[in-house]
Amino acid sequence: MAHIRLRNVNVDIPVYDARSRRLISKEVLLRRIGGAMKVDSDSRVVVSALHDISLDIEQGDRLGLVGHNGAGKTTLLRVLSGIYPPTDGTVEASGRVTPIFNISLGMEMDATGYENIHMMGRLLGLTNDEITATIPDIEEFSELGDYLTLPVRTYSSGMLMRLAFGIATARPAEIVLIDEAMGAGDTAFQKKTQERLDRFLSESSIFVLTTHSEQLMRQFCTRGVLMHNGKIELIGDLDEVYAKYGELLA
Amino acid sequence: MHSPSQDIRAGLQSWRLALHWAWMDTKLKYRRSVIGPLWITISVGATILGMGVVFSTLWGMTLGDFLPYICTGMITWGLITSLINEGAIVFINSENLLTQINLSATTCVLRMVFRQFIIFLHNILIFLLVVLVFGVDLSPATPLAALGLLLYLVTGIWFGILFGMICARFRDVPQVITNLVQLIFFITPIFWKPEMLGERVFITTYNPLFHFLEIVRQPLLGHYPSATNWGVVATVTILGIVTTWLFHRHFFKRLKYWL
Repeated sequence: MAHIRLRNVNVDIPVYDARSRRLISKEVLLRRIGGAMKVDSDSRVVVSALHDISLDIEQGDRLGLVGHNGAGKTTLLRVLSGIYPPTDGTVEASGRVTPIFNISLGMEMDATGYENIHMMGRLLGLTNDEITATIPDIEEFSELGDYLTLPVRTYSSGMLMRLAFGIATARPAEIVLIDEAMGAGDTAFQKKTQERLDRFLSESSIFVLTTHSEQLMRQFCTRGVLMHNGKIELIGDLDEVYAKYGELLA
Repeated sequence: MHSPSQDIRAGLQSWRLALHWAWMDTKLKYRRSVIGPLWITISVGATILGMGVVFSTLWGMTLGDFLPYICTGMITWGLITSLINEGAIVFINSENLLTQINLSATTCVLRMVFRQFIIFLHNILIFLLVVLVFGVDLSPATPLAALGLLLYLVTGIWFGILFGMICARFRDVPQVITNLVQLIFFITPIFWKPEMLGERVFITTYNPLFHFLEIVRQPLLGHYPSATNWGVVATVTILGIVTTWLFHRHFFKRLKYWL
């Protein structure tokens, strides 16, 4: 069964900027927005992006991360995806994780649509045959037709996003992590895209989503995690989470 | 991918992806030009011809004697230095990929190394041309160049992992490396010959890059590299792999936070 379990996870992000020490001396150590800044044992300036996070995500979970900017949502997603190894604590995951943070990342502007399908497909870990099998579906969804034989730099931003989104969601994934609108801009709110996202997410065993849109959150998620200053404030149903979130903002 | 050894294993297993990627990089760079990657060949060829004419005159040698020497020296040196310079910035350049998708850091290194080899293969054309025009005494030693290149491949990978990490943490190191490589170009026998140094020949003996150069250049010219050449390269390779392994095992967890 697919699952991800976090135990007492901390993430401290060191700040190597030459001026970081001066910043600290100006006593911006604690701020309402963003993780707390502190000085660690080697007297380095670090931002405590996640603090003592324990979280169990089980098969069938549709989880939404709620919180203001800098609350730690993106960092938590990166830990869940295995991109960031935690400073302390353990992450135990079973199942193939597909992070969808920036769908156009890895796209080559001078390469054609088809070349990009191949390249991005390989990056997603697909074999040549699997990529070939996804092409009709991507052609159909993106509605790009002959444009797919042209370099993607000739595409409008909407066309580019349809292609990127089509590729990212071409194959069902086991554990899906989605950050904000995954860089999809307005296209994420179009009917066709929503339907595809719906289908893609329903085929996954677990997904975790962050978005500032309460409407999207309620549409896709069944459980919420409220993050505040790098800590988990509350895990519960979405009504509770949004009620508490409102209090925090007030 | 939390463990350092998993990252290396996944990276090496993804060599097809890296090769495809490296080929795309090369192709795309020249996409809108008519002769494409052959520009690499032409630009290096022009440099070799220019330097060949000037230095063969200075040293009082015939062009036929000198051109094969400087040609093999320049294209081999080009591969060595691009592996060093690009290896230093391999992770810095891949920051977006490494922090946003679950990609093995080692894959990025392989992509960079393969790209340098693809460029080298274009430059080999110049050597073939020189062989045809001036005649080089190819011998049973010549295939040894392949062994030399294999050692470059190994070196390119560990060097990229090790120095890619160091340079991600300390952003002044890439500059130091670039400047050092430029300096070493002049103290390495590429457009001059070691014996011209007379009693100061130790300048080349203590230069590890000279020995790396020789294990490919000498076979291409039909000669056997010396035992010293092989010995130095083998020692550097073993030390390099061990250092990289220890460093990577200890610091890999921090790499993402250095980017």
